[in-house]
Amino acid sequence: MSTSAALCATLVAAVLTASGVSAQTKQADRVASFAKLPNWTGFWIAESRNDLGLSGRPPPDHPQTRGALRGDQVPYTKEFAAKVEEQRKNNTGTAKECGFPFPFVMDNPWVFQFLLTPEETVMIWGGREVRHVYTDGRKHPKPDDLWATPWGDSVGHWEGQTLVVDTIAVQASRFPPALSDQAHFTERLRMIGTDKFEDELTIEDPIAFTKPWKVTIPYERVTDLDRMVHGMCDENDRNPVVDGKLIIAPAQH
Amino acid sequence: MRIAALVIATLLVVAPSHAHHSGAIFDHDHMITLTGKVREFQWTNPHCFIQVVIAGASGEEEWSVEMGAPLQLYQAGWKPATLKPGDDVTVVVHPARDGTHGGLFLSATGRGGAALGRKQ
Repeated sequence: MSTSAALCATLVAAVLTASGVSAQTKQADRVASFAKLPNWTGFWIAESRNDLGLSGRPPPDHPQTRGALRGDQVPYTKEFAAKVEEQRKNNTGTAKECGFPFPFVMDNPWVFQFLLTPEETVMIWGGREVRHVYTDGRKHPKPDDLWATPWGDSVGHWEGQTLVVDTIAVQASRFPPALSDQAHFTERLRMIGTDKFEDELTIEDPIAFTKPWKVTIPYERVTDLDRMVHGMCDENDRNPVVDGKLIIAPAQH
Repeated sequence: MRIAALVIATLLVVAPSHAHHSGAIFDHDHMITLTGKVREFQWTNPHCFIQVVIAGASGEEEWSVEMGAPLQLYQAGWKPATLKPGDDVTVVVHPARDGTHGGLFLSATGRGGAALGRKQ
Protein backbone atom coordinates (compact mmCIF):
# COMPACT_ATOMS: atom_id res chain seq x y z
CA MET A 1 0.00 0.00 0.00
CA SER A 2 1.38 3.34 -0.94
CA THR A 3 1.63 6.18 1.55
CA SER A 4 -1.20 8.06 -0.12
CA ALA A 5 -3.41 4.96 -0.15
CA ALA A 6 -2.75 4.35 3.53
CA LEU A 7 -3.57 7.96 4.34
CA CYS A 8 -6.78 7.71 2.36
CA ALA A 9 -7.79 4.50 4.17
CA THR A 10 -7.09 6.14 7.51
CA LEU A 11 -9.24 9.13 6.61
CA VAL A 12 -12.11 6.92 5.48
CA ALA A 13 -11.90 4.94 8.71
CA ALA A 14 -11.91 8.14 10.72
CA VAL A 15 -14.97 9.43 8.89
CA LEU A 16 -16.81 6.15 9.35
CA THR A 17 -15.97 6.10 13.05
CA ALA A 18 -17.12 9.68 13.44
CA SER A 19 -20.38 9.02 11.62
CA GLY A 20 -20.91 5.96 13.78
CA VAL A 21 -20.44 8.02 16.88
CA SER A 22 -22.74 10.65 15.45
CA ALA A 23 -25.43 8.05 14.73
CA GLN A 24 -25.06 6.67 18.24
CA THR A 25 -25.34 10.16 19.66
CA LYS A 26 -28.46 10.86 17.63
CA GLN A 27 -29.95 7.57 18.77
CA ALA A 28 -29.17 8.42 22.39
CA ASP A 29 -30.68 11.87 21.93
CA ARG A 30 -33.80 10.32 20.41
CA VAL A 31 -34.13 7.88 23.29
CA ALA A 32 -33.83 10.80 25.68
CA SER A 33 -36.49 12.66 23.71
CA PHE A 34 -38.81 9.66 23.93
CA ALA A 35 -38.30 9.56 27.70
CA LYS A 36 -39.55 13.13 28.00
CA LEU A 37 -42.85 12.39 26.27
CA PRO A 38 -45.94 11.97 28.44
CA ASN A 39 -47.69 8.62 28.64
CA TRP A 40 -50.96 9.03 26.75
CA THR A 41 -51.35 5.36 25.91
CA GLY A 42 -54.74 3.72 25.99
CA PHE A 43 -58.05 4.68 24.43
CA TRP A 44 -59.93 7.94 24.86
CA ILE A 45 -63.33 9.27 23.94
CA ALA A 46 -64.98 12.68 24.16
CA GLU A 47 -67.00 12.86 27.37
CA SER A 48 -70.08 14.09 25.52
CA ARG A 49 -69.94 11.01 23.30
CA ASN A 50 -69.17 8.29 25.77
CA ASP A 51 -71.75 5.62 26.49
CA LEU A 52 -74.03 6.42 23.56
CA GLY A 53 -75.44 2.93 23.74
CA LEU A 54 -75.59 0.28 21.09
CA SER A 55 -77.35 2.48 18.56
CA GLY A 56 -74.25 4.66 18.39
CA ARG A 57 -76.42 7.76 18.46
CA PRO A 58 -78.40 9.58 21.17
CA PRO A 59 -81.87 11.04 20.65
CA PRO A 60 -81.85 14.46 18.95
CA ASP A 61 -82.80 16.30 22.14
CA HIS A 62 -80.51 14.36 24.46
CA PRO A 63 -77.74 16.35 26.18
CA GLN A 64 -75.19 14.01 24.60
CA THR A 65 -76.25 15.25 21.19
CA ARG A 66 -74.69 18.54 22.17
CA GLY A 67 -70.97 18.37 21.87
CA ALA A 68 -68.55 20.99 23.04
CA LEU A 69 -68.34 22.27 19.47
CA ARG A 70 -72.07 22.95 19.32
CA GLY A 71 -72.08 25.65 21.94
CA ASP A 72 -74.39 28.62 21.58
CA GLN A 73 -71.63 31.17 21.98
CA VAL A 74 -70.00 30.84 18.57
CA PRO A 75 -69.17 34.47 17.62
CA TYR A 76 -70.39 34.43 14.04
CA THR A 77 -70.52 37.55 11.96
CA LYS A 78 -74.03 38.47 10.91
CA GLU A 79 -73.19 37.69 7.29
CA PHE A 80 -71.74 34.26 8.01
CA ALA A 81 -74.62 33.35 10.31
CA ALA A 82 -77.03 34.15 7.50
CA LYS A 83 -75.01 31.97 5.14
CA VAL A 84 -75.09 29.04 7.56
CA GLU A 85 -78.81 29.45 8.02
CA GLU A 86 -79.30 29.37 4.26
CA GLN A 87 -77.28 26.15 4.05
CA ARG A 88 -79.40 24.67 6.79
CA LYS A 89 -82.58 25.45 4.91
CA ASN A 90 -81.20 23.73 1.83
CA ASN A 91 -79.98 20.69 3.74
CA THR A 92 -81.76 17.60 2.46
CA GLY A 93 -80.48 15.45 5.33
CA THR A 94 -79.22 12.86 2.89
CA ALA A 95 -75.48 13.52 3.14
CA LYS A 96 -73.24 10.63 4.14
CA GLU A 97 -69.56 10.60 4.95
CA CYS A 98 -66.71 8.25 5.58
CA GLY A 99 -65.14 9.92 8.58
CA PHE A 100 -65.40 13.10 10.59
CA PRO A 101 -63.38 16.19 9.63
CA PHE A 102 -61.40 18.43 11.98
CA PRO A 103 -62.35 20.06 14.31
CA PHE A 104 -65.52 17.96 14.74
CA VAL A 105 -63.38 14.81 14.86
CA MET A 106 -62.13 15.99 18.26
CA ASP A 107 -65.67 15.66 19.65
CA ASN A 108 -67.12 12.65 17.83
CA PRO A 109 -68.47 9.26 18.93
CA TRP A 110 -65.36 7.25 18.03
CA VAL A 111 -62.74 5.99 20.43
CA PHE A 112 -59.27 7.26 19.58
CA GLN A 113 -55.66 6.80 20.61
CA PHE A 114 -52.39 8.72 20.51
CA LEU A 115 -49.04 7.55 19.17
CA LEU A 116 -46.23 9.77 20.45
CA THR A 117 -42.77 10.00 18.95
CA PRO A 118 -40.24 12.82 19.19
CA GLU A 119 -40.93 13.72 15.57
CA GLU A 120 -44.71 13.61 15.52
CA THR A 121 -47.85 12.81 17.47
CA VAL A 122 -50.46 10.78 15.63
CA MET A 123 -54.13 10.58 16.57
CA ILE A 124 -56.10 7.63 15.23
CA TRP A 125 -59.87 7.26 15.56
CA GLY A 126 -62.07 4.19 15.24
CA GLY A 127 -63.53 5.66 12.06
CA ARG A 128 -60.00 5.60 10.55
CA GLU A 129 -59.59 9.34 10.78
CA VAL A 130 -55.93 10.26 11.34
CA ARG A 131 -54.23 13.49 12.39
CA HIS A 132 -50.47 13.96 12.11
CA VAL A 133 -49.01 16.66 14.33
CA TYR A 134 -45.36 17.20 13.39
CA THR A 135 -43.17 18.15 16.33
CA ASP A 136 -39.78 18.09 14.61
CA GLY A 137 -39.56 21.86 14.41
CA ARG A 138 -40.92 22.25 10.92
CA LYS A 139 -43.22 25.05 9.84
CA HIS A 140 -46.41 24.71 7.81
CA PRO A 141 -45.73 24.06 4.11
CA LYS A 142 -45.29 26.96 1.75
CA PRO A 143 -48.55 28.10 0.11
CA ASP A 144 -47.64 26.34 -3.14
CA ASP A 145 -47.26 23.04 -1.28
CA LEU A 146 -50.42 23.37 0.76
CA TRP A 147 -54.03 22.52 0.02
CA ALA A 148 -57.08 22.25 2.24
CA THR A 149 -58.05 18.81 3.53
CA PRO A 150 -60.63 17.56 6.05
CA TRP A 151 -57.95 17.42 8.78
CA GLY A 152 -55.69 20.27 7.70
CA ASP A 153 -51.96 20.65 8.30
CA SER A 154 -50.75 20.49 11.88
CA VAL A 155 -47.42 21.35 13.47
CA GLY A 156 -46.76 21.39 17.17
CA HIS A 157 -44.34 21.65 20.03
CA TRP A 158 -44.17 20.52 23.60
CA GLU A 159 -44.53 22.88 26.54
CA GLY A 160 -43.76 20.50 29.36
CA GLN A 161 -46.40 17.78 29.19
CA THR A 162 -48.72 19.88 27.01
CA LEU A 163 -48.78 19.47 23.23
CA VAL A 164 -49.43 22.80 21.55
CA VAL A 165 -50.81 22.32 18.04
CA ASP A 166 -51.21 24.83 15.23
CA THR A 167 -53.52 23.80 12.38
CA ILE A 168 -54.41 25.47 9.09
CA ALA A 169 -55.74 24.46 5.67
CA VAL A 170 -58.92 22.77 6.93
CA GLN A 171 -61.73 22.38 4.42
CA ALA A 172 -65.04 23.95 5.35
CA SER A 173 -67.53 21.18 6.17
CA ARG A 174 -71.14 20.79 7.18
CA PHE A 175 -70.17 19.60 10.65
CA PRO A 176 -70.35 22.04 13.53
CA PRO A 177 -69.04 24.55 14.07
CA ALA A 178 -69.56 26.00 10.60
CA LEU A 179 -66.30 27.68 9.53
CA SER A 180 -64.60 29.12 6.49
CA ASP A 181 -61.53 27.50 4.99
CA GLN A 182 -59.50 30.40 6.41
CA ALA A 183 -59.89 29.20 10.00
CA HIS A 184 -56.76 28.92 12.14
CA PHE A 185 -56.73 26.51 15.07
CA THR A 186 -54.58 26.43 18.19
CA GLU A 187 -54.88 23.51 20.58
CA ARG A 188 -53.40 22.71 23.96
CA LEU A 189 -53.66 18.95 24.53
CA ARG A 190 -52.87 17.57 27.96
CA MET A 191 -53.83 15.04 30.57
CA ILE A 192 -55.62 16.56 33.54
CA GLY A 193 -55.78 13.38 35.62
CA THR A 194 -55.10 9.67 35.43
CA ASP A 195 -58.19 9.08 33.31
CA LYS A 196 -58.98 12.58 32.09
CA PHE A 197 -57.70 14.51 29.13
CA GLU A 198 -58.60 17.82 27.52
CA ASP A 199 -58.18 19.78 24.33
CA GLU A 200 -58.27 23.54 24.82
CA LEU A 201 -59.15 24.68 21.31
CA THR A 202 -59.05 28.24 20.06
CA ILE A 203 -60.45 28.98 16.62
CA GLU A 204 -59.75 32.18 14.73
CA ASP A 205 -61.72 32.69 11.54
CA PRO A 206 -61.36 36.06 9.82
CA ILE A 207 -64.39 35.34 7.63
CA ALA A 208 -66.83 33.58 9.97
CA PHE A 209 -66.06 35.02 13.41
CA THR A 210 -66.09 38.45 14.97
CA LYS A 211 -63.48 37.31 17.50
CA PRO A 212 -61.55 34.13 18.43
CA TRP A 213 -63.65 31.35 19.92
CA LYS A 214 -62.21 29.20 22.69
CA VAL A 215 -63.71 25.89 23.76
CA THR A 216 -62.41 23.07 25.95
CA ILE A 217 -63.24 19.51 24.96
CA PRO A 218 -63.01 16.98 27.81
CA TYR A 219 -62.17 13.30 27.29
CA GLU A 220 -62.38 10.15 29.37
CA ARG A 221 -60.22 7.06 29.33
CA VAL A 222 -61.91 4.03 27.77
CA THR A 223 -61.11 0.91 29.77
CA ASP A 224 -63.46 -1.66 28.22
CA LEU A 225 -61.74 -2.04 24.88
CA ASP A 226 -58.78 -4.38 24.35
CA ARG A 227 -57.72 -3.18 20.91
CA MET A 228 -58.51 -0.85 18.04
CA VAL A 229 -60.48 -2.50 15.23
CA HIS A 230 -61.19 -0.80 11.92
CA GLY A 231 -63.55 -1.54 9.07
CA MET A 232 -64.40 -0.15 5.66
CA CYS A 233 -67.19 2.38 6.01
CA ASP A 234 -68.97 1.16 2.87
CA GLU A 235 -68.73 -2.54 3.69
CA ASN A 236 -72.50 -2.82 4.13
CA ASP A 237 -74.14 0.50 3.32
CA ARG A 238 -77.83 -0.14 3.77
CA ASN A 239 -78.87 3.49 3.76
CA PRO A 240 -79.17 4.50 0.11
CA VAL A 241 -80.83 7.71 -1.01
CA VAL A 242 -84.08 6.87 -2.85
CA ASP A 243 -86.28 9.61 -4.30
CA GLY A 244 -84.26 12.18 -2.39
CA LYS A 245 -84.61 10.46 0.97
CA LEU A 246 -82.45 8.17 3.04
CA ILE A 247 -83.98 4.76 3.60
CA ILE A 248 -83.11 1.47 5.29
CA ALA A 249 -82.74 -0.99 2.47
CA PRO A 250 -83.95 -4.58 3.01
CA ALA A 251 -81.21 -7.11 3.75
CA GLN A 252 -79.80 -9.08 0.84
CA HIS A 253 -79.71 -12.63 2.15
CA MET B 1 -75.69 36.78 19.04
CA ARG B 2 -79.35 35.94 18.62
CA ILE B 3 -78.72 34.89 15.03
CA ALA B 4 -75.71 32.84 16.04
CA ALA B 5 -77.69 31.07 18.72
CA LEU B 6 -80.46 30.33 16.25
CA VAL B 7 -78.01 28.85 13.77
CA ILE B 8 -76.48 26.56 16.34
CA ALA B 9 -79.87 25.53 17.68
CA THR B 10 -80.93 24.45 14.22
CA LEU B 11 -77.67 22.67 13.58
CA LEU B 12 -78.48 20.54 16.60
CA VAL B 13 -81.46 19.17 14.78
CA VAL B 14 -79.97 18.47 11.39
CA ALA B 15 -76.37 17.56 12.10
CA PRO B 16 -75.75 13.84 12.55
CA SER B 17 -74.58 12.47 15.84
CA HIS B 18 -72.88 9.60 14.09
CA ALA B 19 -70.94 9.17 10.91
CA HIS B 20 -72.41 7.96 7.67
CA HIS B 21 -75.94 9.35 7.79
CA SER B 22 -78.43 11.48 9.64
CA GLY B 23 -80.64 10.01 12.36
CA ALA B 24 -83.62 11.91 11.00
CA ILE B 25 -84.91 8.81 9.22
CA PHE B 26 -85.99 7.43 12.60
CA ASP B 27 -89.06 8.52 14.55
CA HIS B 28 -87.51 9.36 17.90
CA ASP B 29 -90.94 10.11 19.41
CA HIS B 30 -92.14 6.52 19.14
CA MET B 31 -90.90 3.14 20.28
CA ILE B 32 -92.10 -0.25 19.20
CA THR B 33 -91.22 -3.70 20.48
CA LEU B 34 -90.37 -6.49 18.06
CA THR B 35 -90.49 -10.04 19.38
CA GLY B 36 -89.42 -12.81 17.07
CA LYS B 37 -86.49 -14.82 15.84
CA VAL B 38 -83.16 -13.66 14.51
CA ARG B 39 -82.73 -14.38 10.82
CA GLU B 40 -79.30 -12.78 10.55
CA PHE B 41 -76.99 -10.65 12.66
CA GLN B 42 -74.92 -8.45 10.38
CA TRP B 43 -71.66 -7.51 12.13
CA THR B 44 -70.70 -4.91 9.55
CA ASN B 45 -69.60 -1.32 9.00
CA PRO B 46 -70.88 1.31 8.97
CA HIS B 47 -73.71 -0.30 10.95
CA CYS B 48 -74.55 -3.63 12.46
CA PHE B 49 -78.07 -4.89 11.76
CA ILE B 50 -80.32 -7.39 13.48
CA GLN B 51 -82.64 -9.00 10.97
CA VAL B 52 -85.57 -10.18 13.06
CA VAL B 53 -88.63 -12.03 11.78
CA ILE B 54 -91.85 -11.37 13.64
CA ALA B 55 -95.45 -12.49 13.22
CA GLY B 56 -97.16 -9.55 11.59
CA ALA B 57 -100.84 -8.88 10.99
CA SER B 58 -100.66 -10.39 7.54
CA GLY B 59 -97.96 -12.96 7.99
CA GLU B 60 -94.26 -12.93 8.72
CA GLU B 61 -92.42 -9.61 8.61
CA GLU B 62 -88.65 -9.18 8.49
CA TRP B 63 -87.42 -6.05 10.25
CA SER B 64 -84.03 -4.42 9.88
CA VAL B 65 -82.78 -3.05 13.19
CA GLU B 66 -79.89 -0.62 12.78
CA MET B 67 -77.19 -0.48 15.45
CA GLY B 68 -73.82 1.22 15.85
CA ALA B 69 -70.57 0.06 14.28
CA PRO B 70 -68.83 -3.19 15.29
CA LEU B 71 -66.21 -1.33 17.35
CA GLN B 72 -68.93 0.43 19.34
CA LEU B 73 -70.80 -2.83 19.95
CA TYR B 74 -67.61 -4.65 20.88
CA GLN B 75 -66.78 -1.94 23.42
CA ALA B 76 -70.23 -2.54 24.91
CA GLY B 77 -69.59 -6.24 25.25
CA TRP B 78 -71.34 -7.49 22.13
CA LYS B 79 -69.61 -9.93 19.79
CA PRO B 80 -70.33 -11.31 16.32
CA ALA B 81 -71.90 -14.41 17.91
CA THR B 82 -74.00 -12.55 20.48
CA LEU B 83 -77.00 -13.26 18.24
CA LYS B 84 -77.31 -16.27 15.97
CA PRO B 85 -79.92 -17.26 13.39
CA GLY B 86 -82.90 -18.81 15.12
CA ASP B 87 -82.34 -17.09 18.46
CA ASP B 88 -85.39 -15.72 20.23
CA VAL B 89 -85.06 -11.98 20.65
CA THR B 90 -87.08 -8.98 21.75
CA VAL B 91 -85.87 -5.66 20.37
CA VAL B 92 -87.13 -2.17 21.15
CA VAL B 93 -86.64 0.34 18.35
CA HIS B 94 -87.45 3.80 17.12
CA PRO B 95 -89.26 2.91 13.87
CA ALA B 96 -88.34 4.31 10.48
CA ARG B 97 -90.40 7.37 9.62
CA ASP B 98 -91.26 6.05 6.16
CA GLY B 99 -93.20 3.11 7.56
CA THR B 100 -90.88 0.45 6.22
CA HIS B 101 -89.86 -2.44 8.43
CA GLY B 102 -86.80 -0.80 9.87
CA GLY B 103 -85.80 0.89 13.09
CA LEU B 104 -83.05 2.23 15.31
CA PHE B 105 -81.92 -0.11 18.09
CA LEU B 106 -82.72 0.95 21.64
CA SER B 107 -82.45 -2.28 23.64
CA ALA B 108 -82.73 -6.03 23.28
CA THR B 109 -83.14 -9.16 25.36
CA GLY B 110 -82.83 -12.82 24.55
CA ARG B 111 -85.00 -15.80 25.49
CA GLY B 112 -86.82 -15.21 28.76
CA GLY B 113 -85.56 -11.67 29.01
CA ALA B 114 -81.92 -12.69 29.21
CA ALA B 115 -79.46 -9.83 28.89
CA LEU B 116 -77.35 -9.64 25.74
CA GLY B 117 -73.78 -8.41 25.77
CA ARG B 118 -72.25 -6.70 28.77
CA LYS B 119 -74.34 -3.54 28.78
CA GLN B 120 -76.91 -1.74 26.71
